[in-house]
Amino acid sequence: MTVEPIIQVRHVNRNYGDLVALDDVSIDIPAGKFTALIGPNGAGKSTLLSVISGFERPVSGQVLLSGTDITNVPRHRRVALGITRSFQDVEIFPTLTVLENVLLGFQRQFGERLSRLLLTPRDVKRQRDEFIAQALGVLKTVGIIDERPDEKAGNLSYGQQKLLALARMLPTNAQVFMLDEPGSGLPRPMVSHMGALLQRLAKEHGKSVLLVDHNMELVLEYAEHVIVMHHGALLAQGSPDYVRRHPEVIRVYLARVDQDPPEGPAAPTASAGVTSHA
Amino acid sequence: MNLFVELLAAGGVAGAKVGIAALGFALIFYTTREMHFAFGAVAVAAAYPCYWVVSALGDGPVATALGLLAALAAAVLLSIALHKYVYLRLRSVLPVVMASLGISLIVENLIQIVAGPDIQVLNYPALLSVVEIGSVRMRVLEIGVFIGFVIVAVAIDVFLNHTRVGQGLGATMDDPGMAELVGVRTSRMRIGAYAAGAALGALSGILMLVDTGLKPANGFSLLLYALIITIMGRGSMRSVAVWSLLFGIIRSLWSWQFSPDLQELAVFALMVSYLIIRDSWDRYQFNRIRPISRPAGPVAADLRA
Amino acid sequence: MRFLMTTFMLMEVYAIVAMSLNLLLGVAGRFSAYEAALMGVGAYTAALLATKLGLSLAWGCFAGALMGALIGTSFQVAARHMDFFTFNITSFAFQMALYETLLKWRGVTAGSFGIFNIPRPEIAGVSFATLEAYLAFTTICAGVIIGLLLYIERSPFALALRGLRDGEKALQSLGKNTFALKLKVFAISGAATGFAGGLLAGLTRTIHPSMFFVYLSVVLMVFVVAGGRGNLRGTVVAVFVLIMLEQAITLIPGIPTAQIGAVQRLFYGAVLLGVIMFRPNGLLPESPIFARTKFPGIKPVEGGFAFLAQSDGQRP
Repeated sequence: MTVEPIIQVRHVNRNYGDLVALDDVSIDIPAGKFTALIGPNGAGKSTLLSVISGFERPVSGQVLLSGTDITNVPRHRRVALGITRSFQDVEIFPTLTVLENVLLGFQRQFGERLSRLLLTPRDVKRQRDEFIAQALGVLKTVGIIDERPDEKAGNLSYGQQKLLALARMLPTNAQVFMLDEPGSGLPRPMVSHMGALLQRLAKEHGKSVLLVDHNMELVLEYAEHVIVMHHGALLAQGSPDYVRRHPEVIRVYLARVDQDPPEGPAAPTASAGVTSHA
Repeated sequence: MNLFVELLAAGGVAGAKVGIAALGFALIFYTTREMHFAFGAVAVAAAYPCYWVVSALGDGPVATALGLLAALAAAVLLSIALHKYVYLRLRSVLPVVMASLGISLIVENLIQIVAGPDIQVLNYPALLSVVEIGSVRMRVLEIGVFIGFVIVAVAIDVFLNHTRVGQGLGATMDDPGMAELVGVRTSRMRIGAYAAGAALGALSGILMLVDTGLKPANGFSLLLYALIITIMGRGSMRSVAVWSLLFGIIRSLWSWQFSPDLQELAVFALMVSYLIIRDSWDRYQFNRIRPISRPAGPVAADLRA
Repeated sequence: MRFLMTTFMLMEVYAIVAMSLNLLLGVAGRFSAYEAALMGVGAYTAALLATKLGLSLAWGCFAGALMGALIGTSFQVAARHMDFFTFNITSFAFQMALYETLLKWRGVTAGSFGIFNIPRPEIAGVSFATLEAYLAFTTICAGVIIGLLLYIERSPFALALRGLRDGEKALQSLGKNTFALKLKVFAISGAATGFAGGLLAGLTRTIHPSMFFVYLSVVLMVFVVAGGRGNLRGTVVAVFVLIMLEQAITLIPGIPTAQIGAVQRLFYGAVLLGVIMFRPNGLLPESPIFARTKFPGIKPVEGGFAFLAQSDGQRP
């Protein structure tokens, strides 16, 4: 059974001066699955995320969404087409409340268009109320941060902010959710909570989740598909079991420091990376 | 041709005058990153004690020295106080801008209330006597200003590059975190920068006092020029010195071919255009993707892309 | 009585400009130092159209608004990538350049002579020449504009502006076109400022470049900061209170007439410094636009993320 990949990256190159971040990379992101993107520092994971979401432009190559070339589509338009992403540094809106943060995730808001504001204020109001109800619903389902929707986002704890950043992406109604290290620095319960949420998105709603992280728990426990990158190129990809037994992957990770004792009987499972940076 | 040379000379002098203030402001801004909008007002206000002292005691050398001292002391003390008790407390950029704007209004208008809005001048005949250099006639004062500016600019350069304290100051300008790490007392450097900058500002004010005259409203335009040149200088004191001279010369030479009336407008318009173009150029350079020739094998292992 | 009416109209005019500045500075987080000169552009546009072409001031105000929008937008677009310091200075330099243009472009603006005998508008045969009538005209215009600004302040558009202030990248990752947002807010702010300039021209009937000098830009900042950055209602309050106090200064006995201006500017400087140091959020601090408590009747949608699958006309 072949599933049409939702995102295809074709021969993408990206460098910064002499530094090669992406080296002729061609990768498929499968549709409707929870995919993890792992690799040591400098492997190019975050850069790939940025190229797919439009925050970086490749020197050459293409990015395709469901077969359509989106390489030259500006970043904000890609959200309308169905791709949204989070950032490694949390990037929630600190002076806005929890509720307001989520509200900004809704697309095509009448209230953002001046013509609508002036000419059809009642429609604006109606839609706004609808969105507030939906935002509150999102918060309720996400949990933890729904208790104080009027709290300024800057006052939340680090973990709560990361959860908010995830919640905020939901109203975009995107097909592809890309998260850049959503679990880093978070306590275990929070990580599991997040993982479960993302799994629901993929399994129950058919969304495509792409997760970049060093946290092997998130990867091994929840991912259905794993892509390993190294030196700006694809190293291996497949099911989590396949990847952790892959000789190349083992070789690359063997030199790295273990975070947790190996879980499998044979392969020494390594955590990705020495420092926290992707 | 004669006109051209005269305009060139006049421009150089004007540039030197602005340059002294600009160097003072740049010292403060590059070292502390505080937008000390009150700089001009303080510089002008500090010149008044000099005026009062000399008016009271006559214009002999002792009185003049005392007057200078009074001006310098006033400027330095006030500026350091502002840094310590206002700017440091506020920390973030916008409040510092607002606070310093408020202070500049306060200082400038306080002086106006105390000393009156009219121009005050101190006349030193020796300084105002005219000298002929080649085909150009200049006053001793103007030559003195130009030479003084060059001396100050060179002294600053030598200080920053060839003395230990100066290198500490330079380090604080470039990267205060690193500087602190290697043992530079950055908070002292900042105070020192304020002291030096304020002194140069006061000098600027006194120059106005003995030349074209001093009135409280001069503060803001002095500040504005110093500010613009500092931003154009982009962290380099040498650039500030060069831009100051260029500023004076361009403004003066404008009158060679165009209406002198539009001098100010031309200069501001040119400055705005330059800043916008420079910014766009920077942006273009930053965003330009330069494809590289493919090296053999993987490169730049383990470096964050 | 005339004094009161004139002062009231001045308050209305400055309230419009200060609120526009707050929209830029407080809500969208964009510094601006050239509001005074922009007002001047609006005033001169309206005045010249009225005196030289006989166009009713009512139209002149709209023309002023258009000029304001054009100039404000062009400048902000040209300077969009500058870091805070460079942008700050360029903004001041732009104010000076515009001011110098008003002062030196004698052929058009009559320079330091100013423009006088600016006729007040006549609409559909009704003349608004008397002070009372002009008060009605100004109040209606100001009411509409201020009302619009206050309405916009509570809209999803304003929420997006605050998001822009907090994190442009994040806002883009949520699908908002930040460049378009910026254009819109600069246009609104510039238009309102230009319009207010036209109203001022009709009020004072004489305009002169000195009315639009950089000091006014600073005073406008005082209104914004004192009222509360990001809170447009606060700005209205600040304008009224501070202008009243400013006028009250003229009543203090013993101040020589030549020094009254200095005392007034001293007052504004003290207010600015005082607010920044002791009550930085201003009189009315910024409050959330959409607080849960303000919508008690709304219930959260149930069913987890089921709504995500619905496409009620919102997905392409």
